[in-house]
Amino acid sequence: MTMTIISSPHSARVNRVDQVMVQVCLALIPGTAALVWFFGWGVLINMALATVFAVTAEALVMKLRGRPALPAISDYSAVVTALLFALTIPPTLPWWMTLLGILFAIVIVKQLYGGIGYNPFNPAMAGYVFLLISYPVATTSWLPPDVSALLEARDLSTLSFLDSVRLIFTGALPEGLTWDAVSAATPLDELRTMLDQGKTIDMIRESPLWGLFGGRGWEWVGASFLLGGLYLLWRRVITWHIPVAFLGGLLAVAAAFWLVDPQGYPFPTFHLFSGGAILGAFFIATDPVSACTTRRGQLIYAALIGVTIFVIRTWGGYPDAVAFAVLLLNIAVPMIDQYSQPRVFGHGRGERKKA
Amino acid sequence: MVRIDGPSCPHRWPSAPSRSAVALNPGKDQPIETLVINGAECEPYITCDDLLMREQASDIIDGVRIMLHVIAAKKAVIGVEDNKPEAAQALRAAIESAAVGDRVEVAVIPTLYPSGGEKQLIRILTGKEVPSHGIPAQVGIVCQNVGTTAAVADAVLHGRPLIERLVTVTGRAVAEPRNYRVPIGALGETLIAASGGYRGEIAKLVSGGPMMGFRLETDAVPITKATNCLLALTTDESPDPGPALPCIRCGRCAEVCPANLLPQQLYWHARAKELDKVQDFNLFDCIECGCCAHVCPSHIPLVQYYRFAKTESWAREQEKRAADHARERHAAREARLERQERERKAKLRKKKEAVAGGAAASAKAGKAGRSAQGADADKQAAIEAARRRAAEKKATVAKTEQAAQPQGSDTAAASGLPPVDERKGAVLADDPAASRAGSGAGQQRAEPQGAGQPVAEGSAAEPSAAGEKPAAEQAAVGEEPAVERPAAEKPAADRHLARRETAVQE
Repeated sequence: MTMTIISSPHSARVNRVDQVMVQVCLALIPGTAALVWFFGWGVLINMALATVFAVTAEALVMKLRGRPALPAISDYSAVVTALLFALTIPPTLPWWMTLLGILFAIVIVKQLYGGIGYNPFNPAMAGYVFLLISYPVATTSWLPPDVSALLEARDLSTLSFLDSVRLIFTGALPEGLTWDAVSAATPLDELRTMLDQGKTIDMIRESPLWGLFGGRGWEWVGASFLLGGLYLLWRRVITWHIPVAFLGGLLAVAAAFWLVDPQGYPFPTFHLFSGGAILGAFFIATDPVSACTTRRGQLIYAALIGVTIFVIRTWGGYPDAVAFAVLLLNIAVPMIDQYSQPRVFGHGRGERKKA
Repeated sequence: MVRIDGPSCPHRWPSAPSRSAVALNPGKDQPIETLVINGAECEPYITCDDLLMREQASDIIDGVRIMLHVIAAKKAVIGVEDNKPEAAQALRAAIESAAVGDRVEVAVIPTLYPSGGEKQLIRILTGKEVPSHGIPAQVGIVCQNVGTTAAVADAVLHGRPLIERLVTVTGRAVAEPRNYRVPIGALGETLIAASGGYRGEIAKLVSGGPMMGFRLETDAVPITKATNCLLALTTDESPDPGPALPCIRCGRCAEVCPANLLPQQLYWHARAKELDKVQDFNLFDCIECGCCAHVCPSHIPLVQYYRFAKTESWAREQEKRAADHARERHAAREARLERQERERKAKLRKKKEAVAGGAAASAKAGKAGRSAQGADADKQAAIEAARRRAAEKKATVAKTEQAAQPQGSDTAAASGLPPVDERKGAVLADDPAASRAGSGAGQQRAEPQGAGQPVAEGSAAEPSAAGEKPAAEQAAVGEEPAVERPAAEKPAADRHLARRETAVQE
């Protein structure tokens, strides 16, 4: 009788890394659908491209490191990184920029630090920031929300699937369209420009880029990601701590400034439902590898991300700030973890751990 | 804490004093408020405590009354998990018929592993936390298992010693899972045979539950007073978790840790063999309940890392103690030799002074004679004096040598003389110390036997099973903890493994 030799527990394990990652991918479906609805096929094409690049890069690096590639690929962590990266870049980004961003994310940020579990920074966000700094124009020129409607209004053909493919691979726009006609600033960008011009919030709200309580189109994207986030909470893939502290921190600072000067600062929900706040709160800041591990630490970490986002959006040089805020707080993670350790059972409440 | 699926005895938790005699003698300065009776099964699958409470509720209540009297506690709380309504009902009926309702109550608690842990149960029932490395008496509580309570009644009321116990035989690899009342020492194979033998493919035979039990190499082992369950698991119930993946820091382990530890930090430091660091993270508050490993999405054998770090820490402590001891012995020997040398010199000096005194006296006498008798007699006297002096000196040296020889152990050894008493004494004095340092493993292994833990074939087979463990694990897992040691260190490794098993059994 040959039996497996292993110490207790002998129970079947209830979780698996790949299952966790698959759940995250599933939870991205509503948000992705909304993005595709408002911004066209480019989103899906980017996701497919990024996934292929990421998985290939991961396999190659594992091979270079002399380790089996299959287990690394089959945990789907590279897929999750690729999907998150693809959701943050504009749907018209040339394919080679996607490749560059993914290579930076997977090879440098993730694998050079030792692969899954060892990267101090969120790979998707680092890849995005790398592109944002290197190619600021390309990475910030988004399509206007529901591009199809706008184009139809100008009596032009919509950006079809093939048009999107051609745009991404050759950079060629459909006939009769120019970049100026196709691209538009994001609501956050618009807000910054207008405020810089001395306009009040009431005047800015007249802009067609504004929707009910956030950027037009973007608010629905945010709501869809929120739906996916709730699914993750329900499946217990994530806990409430990071999303709640993240959005709470952002909301609290935004509300404070809005209360002081309602014409100088947008309504707090605008911050929540514009840009990548919701995606960041549920999918990016919750990346376990680069986030805090203690409960109290997670609250501090996420709340500070929320505050940093507001600071960068309001006074910084970049329109959106989720990526920067997450990376900045990634740096602080070891220290926050060190000072937020829970009280161990049987140790007095006042007793401080020497470390 | 985790909710674990599966059909659902608490005395193998590694907490300080497991013997009832110690627990029931908390000391005069420590008044006991509450007697907590543990009626929560320690692990899923096990049902022997449930059966005991259903069948022998009145014995348990008798035991409670006796213990309440002995420790002079005000009240007793029996904690029963909510998946055992019949047991709770039986206990309540027994309390009523004994008319002790004002002092004894049954508290139904949620079925959450590991509520059966002593400190965990006390926390659930009374809200008090037993201090780290402390015992429940420090917070005015004594905790006893229902099995012990019934045994107390047996012993006190009927004069019957603990010679039998209830054992659960279960797992899907057993044809007819059952509970048995068996004499202690009965063979496991007898119980398995009584249950219709094995069915289908058995993956593991475990003594104890699925979370903390230890694997048996064979069923030809005796039931001890701590054996609450024989668990025959199929591959479905206990699948090979596969190679461990890297930790993704998800923190689920910390979420479920009943001791509120940070299991992944412990894992990192245990893996890096940073023994000081693991202790900073309170490794020794870990009760090895296995919740962290159960939920780990990377399937890291976390508990194994903690046991490794614990045994390494113990080994290091022991080495340090041995080194301290050796240093003390060395210092004592140096001091002794120095003292003897000093004494010898002092004696020599005294003798010399005495001789010098004698010579001076005779020289004086000679001088006086010369003035009276002349040069011839003078010469004669000088020769005489010199001769006497030489003889005396010789005698003194011989004497001193004789005196020094028995004391100077080095000279004795060097001259091949038989060892004198003092030296023998020193050897004898050294001996027990040496054997103490050398046979740590034997002592460690003996401890659980004293506490009524598995003995004979059971524990003899186990260390050897554990001995294979690291190698096999390493082969299977690839990047495993360095539990395996080089061949040269084999004896030391064996000792550690033996101690590891001790930890499991406790």
